[in-house]
Amino acid sequence: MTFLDVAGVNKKFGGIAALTDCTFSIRSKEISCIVGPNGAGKTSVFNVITGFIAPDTGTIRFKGQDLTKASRHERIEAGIARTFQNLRLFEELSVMDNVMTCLASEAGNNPLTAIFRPIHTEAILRAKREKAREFIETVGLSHKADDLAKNLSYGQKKLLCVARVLATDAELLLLDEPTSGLAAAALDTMVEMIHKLKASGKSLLIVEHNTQIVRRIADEVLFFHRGTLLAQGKTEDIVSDKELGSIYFGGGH
Amino acid sequence: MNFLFSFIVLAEIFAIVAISTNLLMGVVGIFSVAQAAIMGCGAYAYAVLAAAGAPFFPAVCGAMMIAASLNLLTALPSLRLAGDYFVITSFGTQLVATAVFINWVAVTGGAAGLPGIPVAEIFGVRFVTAGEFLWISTVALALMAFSFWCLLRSPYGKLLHAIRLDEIAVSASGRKVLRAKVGVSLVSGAYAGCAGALYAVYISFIDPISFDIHVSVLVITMVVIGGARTLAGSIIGPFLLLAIPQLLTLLEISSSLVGPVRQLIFGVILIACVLWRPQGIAGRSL
Repeated sequence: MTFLDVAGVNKKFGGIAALTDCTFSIRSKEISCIVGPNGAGKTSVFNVITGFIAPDTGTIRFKGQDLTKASRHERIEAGIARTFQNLRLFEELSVMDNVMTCLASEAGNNPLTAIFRPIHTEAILRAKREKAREFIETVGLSHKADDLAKNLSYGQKKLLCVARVLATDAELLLLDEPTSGLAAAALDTMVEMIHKLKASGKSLLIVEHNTQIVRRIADEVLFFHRGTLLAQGKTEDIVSDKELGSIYFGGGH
Repeated sequence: MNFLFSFIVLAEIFAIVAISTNLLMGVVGIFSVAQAAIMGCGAYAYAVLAAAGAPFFPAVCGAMMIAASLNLLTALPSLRLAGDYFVITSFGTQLVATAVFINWVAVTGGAAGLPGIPVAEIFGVRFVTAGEFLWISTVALALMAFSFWCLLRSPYGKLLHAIRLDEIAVSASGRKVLRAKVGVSLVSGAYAGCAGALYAVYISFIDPISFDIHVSVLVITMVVIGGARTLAGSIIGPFLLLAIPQLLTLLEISSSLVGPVRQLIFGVILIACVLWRPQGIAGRSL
């Protein structure tokens, strides 16, 4: 069954082509890693899939549903959510409120209910906190639930990003460089977390720079170069391909 | 005593406007300099409804609804704009509102204003003096303050904070940013409209000067000095800033100096705040 299908996507910014005839599919319940040199269009792919940039041509289909023109929240309802390379946490809010804001349920997100039914709203608040607590526990930040996001370590912030994206209840999670900038211990925690997400039935599309990490997590690798998919296949085949390696590490064109 | 009561009534009315501004500016980060215009819409709406024979409560509710709708209507085209651009459009709203107050003579009485707004009457009880009206303004402030507190505590309140902090992240988590902003414009407009209605009925006379750009700036100053994002800040600010001109009248300075001295003191307090307490007296950096 088709899961995520990106077909014939082109995107130009001014005269610069960010994505050129970009076509690929990924399978459900797998970890697919996008690799490629800087400027290969990895984050642009994320932006097109999640509705942050509109493609000039091409289609995005998810489980048969055409999402090309869908709004961001429609994509999340359909089951696609993302994290950001630069995290974009609500730094001044607590870990709890960061996660609570991202919960799938729209309950309580209404000023009239909040003002005219305060007791009912209080019950919603408690229920949402309970729900958010589960996701915080999943990423192992329970002891930090009431801390402000800005007071977390970098590794913890990245885990909070995962908790937030989990809170949306999306089936396909797009993680933009979840391991970049992490020290060894935090990195192992994150790799473990990614495996745990897959085991819990999530599908993941991950931008990853580090080939060592790609070997540890990926079921499949998509190699991007100059805004287009150059190769897709089993991790070992792609990572050990000498030609792709020379493109990745500069030199080859 | 009446002097003191009168001061408290006015401070409470402005505390309601400050709550309205705090919600919009402090919490969501929509920087509006049209708060006085919206308050004025509430005041004129009340005056017109009262003149048409509407009793106190329905007239206040009507004023709140009209102010809320106008706030939304004027804000809607620019709510999509990021942060600072909103200041420009709200500045336009303020100028247009003042022009309408001055020129729509048939309804607003023009520059001469609308005198003789009837005294508030609830179930046959008339609230004439400042001491009597204090009951109304205190209950109104308590209601608005409580609703503001409920709002900020709710999941919606957290969402509003999140919008201020990172709108893109909010949209990436599946929330509808525009819808949340529409809601907040309505609530903030209703607060300002309520304050305007109370002002009209208490002073019993309104004119365009009462709701011009200077009043908008004064309200913003109240929120900045009192403290953004907290209820206490919205109440301390108006009481403090309205106390200054009152205290100046007690001093033996010539009347021509009172205005400039007041502005001087506002300026000094504002600079002191920015230097030593940028979050305001009771503000939170949250």
